[in-house]
Amino acid sequence: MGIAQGLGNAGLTPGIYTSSTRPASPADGLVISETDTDTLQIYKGSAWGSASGLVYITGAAVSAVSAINVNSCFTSTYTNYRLTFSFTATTDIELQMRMRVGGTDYSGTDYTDYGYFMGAGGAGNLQHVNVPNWTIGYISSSEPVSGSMDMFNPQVATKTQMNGMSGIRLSIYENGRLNTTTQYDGFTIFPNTSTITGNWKLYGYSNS
Amino acid sequence: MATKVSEHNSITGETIVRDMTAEELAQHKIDSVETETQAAALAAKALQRQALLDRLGITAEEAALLLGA
Repeated sequence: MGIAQGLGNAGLTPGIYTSSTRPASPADGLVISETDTDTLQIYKGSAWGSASGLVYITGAAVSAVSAINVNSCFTSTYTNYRLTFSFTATTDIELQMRMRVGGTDYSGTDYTDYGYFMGAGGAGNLQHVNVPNWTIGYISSSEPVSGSMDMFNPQVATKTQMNGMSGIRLSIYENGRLNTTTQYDGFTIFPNTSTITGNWKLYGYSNS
Repeated sequence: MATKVSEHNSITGETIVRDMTAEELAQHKIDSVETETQAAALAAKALQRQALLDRLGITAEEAALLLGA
């Protein structure tokens, strides 16, 4: 542990470890900086846990693509995840999503989502039952649209569920389920037509 | 113009942009047809709805009021 001092680089440095080299059973409350996960970790009496509830995993910017494939993002480290996104499109589109394993989309007709939409043109129910993807947002060509989505148990051998919200001109709130028990390790986001530009970020919910 | 995919490896943090594979392109075409089919079904339903409103001689707002929506 140390305190770095000096113009422009002052700060507190806790013990530096990796998840492999950290102490196995230190005193309750010990704080370390874990370099392989880039997180602050606290020993919580019987196990290590992240100092923050939501931990950034990965993300990227994209430009004019027809699909975003994200591989190896779901692991046993986290059970539940949050995806945030902000996209623009050159035409009005539906933003869709599939789960992925081993670098391949699962496109079976096992995705279901129910929700509610509202916007300047009206409001109503959303219902997509046993279709080959979830619909997670509507993007207007007139302005960027941001949204977030929680995914539950994608890497657990049980049915993955999600809920999310997005939209400006057409807002949606929805819940969904994938009727398989596959352990997925990635996902794909894609517009139903044309391309999207913007960025996405994935976070893991700390398990302890 | 080729259909581009952003492929992200979460372990390395590396992102590449590449053309769709033949398999991905085939699925993309299936998805596009599905989108067009859904859009056509929605358009047909909207036409049916308007035709019914015209026959009844009421507006969409009056129909919503009638149904308690």
